[in-house]
Amino acid sequence: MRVSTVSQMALLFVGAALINNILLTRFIGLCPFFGVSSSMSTSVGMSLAVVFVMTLASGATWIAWKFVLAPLGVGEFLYIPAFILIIAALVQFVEMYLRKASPVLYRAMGIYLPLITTNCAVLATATEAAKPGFFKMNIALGASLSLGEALIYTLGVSVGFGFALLTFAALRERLEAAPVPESLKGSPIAFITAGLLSFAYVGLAGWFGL
Amino acid sequence: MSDTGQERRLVVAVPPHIHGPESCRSIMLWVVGALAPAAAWSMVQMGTPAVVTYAVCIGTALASEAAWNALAKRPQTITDGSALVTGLLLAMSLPPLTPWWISAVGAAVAIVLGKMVFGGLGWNLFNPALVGRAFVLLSWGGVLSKLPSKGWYRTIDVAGSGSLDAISGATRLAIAAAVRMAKGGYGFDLAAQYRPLLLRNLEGSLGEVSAALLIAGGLVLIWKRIIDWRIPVGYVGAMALLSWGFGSDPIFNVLAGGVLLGAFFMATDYVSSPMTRNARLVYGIGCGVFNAVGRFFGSMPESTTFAILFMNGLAPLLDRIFVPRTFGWVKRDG
Repeated sequence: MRVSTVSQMALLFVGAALINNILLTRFIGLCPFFGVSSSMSTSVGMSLAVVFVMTLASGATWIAWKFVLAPLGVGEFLYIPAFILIIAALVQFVEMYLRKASPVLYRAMGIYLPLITTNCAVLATATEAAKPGFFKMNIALGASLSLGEALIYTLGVSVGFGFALLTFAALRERLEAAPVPESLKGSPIAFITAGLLSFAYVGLAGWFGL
Repeated sequence: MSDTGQERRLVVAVPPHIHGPESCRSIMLWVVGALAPAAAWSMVQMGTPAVVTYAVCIGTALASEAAWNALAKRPQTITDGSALVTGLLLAMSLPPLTPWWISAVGAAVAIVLGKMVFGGLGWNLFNPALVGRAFVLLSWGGVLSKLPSKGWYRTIDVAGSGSLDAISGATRLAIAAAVRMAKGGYGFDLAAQYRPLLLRNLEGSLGEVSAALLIAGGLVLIWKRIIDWRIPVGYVGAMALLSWGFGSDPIFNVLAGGVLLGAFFMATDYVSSPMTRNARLVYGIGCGVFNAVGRFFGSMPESTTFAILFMNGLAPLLDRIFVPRTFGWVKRDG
């Protein structure tokens, strides 16, 4: 599908953010989902960092794929190390830059940047944006995406990541006071809650044919 | 019902201390009373299979709550009436010919996974009945959707139905969807469905037999201030407005499917809905929007279950966003 109109762009975004939510329908990136969701403030920082890193990373890897890896014919077996290297280096430079240039922004999401550098969700989204259909994360994606489409798609995925993370963090905060049985406290009840939350996202399957 | 298994804590509350006559049990009994006419009418119309489904759902719900409390060594809570409401609502969301073991699994999952693992009544994040229904729908959706073909359902008599024979026995909602796909062929008149949907609809789940009785029960609960009007009004309003916007009949779309049962009796669950008034209105509208978009653009004929579960999940976030203004305080430094 070529994204040529505003409505198609909106569909691409919604399809990536909600209908094919990376956390609750694809179950990719679950480590930060469970790791930082125990408090709201860490979840906000993580969500910002994911939006920032994912969009940046898939923009960079898209360019690397299009102009280096694919033309040289080495992409098929080199893309994982290449993408990881690009993403990690990029995030490190951004972190160093942010620390000096914008201390406010660095305090908000600084410590989460290195944490998600090699996160599977970032790599999966970057791969999907460069070679659509690889993970079958979004059937609306055609054989290839333009850079603009790749960025909108990645923005959708990362906003959906943040939305699911904040939803889950608010639920877990409510659980803090609950008299959950001793043996289920902590991670077990978090997994049960995440499972029930993903029930609701099943209801989104197939919306608009996405 | 003050002792819920937690250690007793010193509670310091601010005045005014006004004691309300309601208790958890009296509220639950009002809900059961409001659902009773619709449930009784569905038993009259559907006969033995309906009675079996009700009995299995309510019985399993009570039994699993009792069993969990016994195993977890917690005070027995089956007399608070909430398991009764959960079982009743689950039964009303299922088709009458549901195999008894599916009803039983649904009720057990509703009580145990939907409520007890979170610490019992008052702590469940999602509506327990809908957790049970979503579980059986996702596990045995094929079984549930094939039920009508077993011959219990009657063919709908629609003037000039002609080609409708192919999907006879389907719910009115499914027929409306099929007609929509076929760009308004078949002459399926939505306005002619008001009367059967209000009074006697044998195609669908047990809670869909009479929309009129559901509305009456819901209005009684609103009048008794047991449920907040904002949730059903937001839900039904959004549903009607959107289905009108999508070019369909708003009244038909409110009466058909699970909207009324969901809006009055499921979305209004105290525990899993937001606490503040504005958040409740937004929550209700969100349910209606999800339900309408899911019905018109989704892959399933109805999405009430998932609409309410989705908004249940958002309820704590909505509470954080719509914090009521505190009067009598001055904002520090703006």
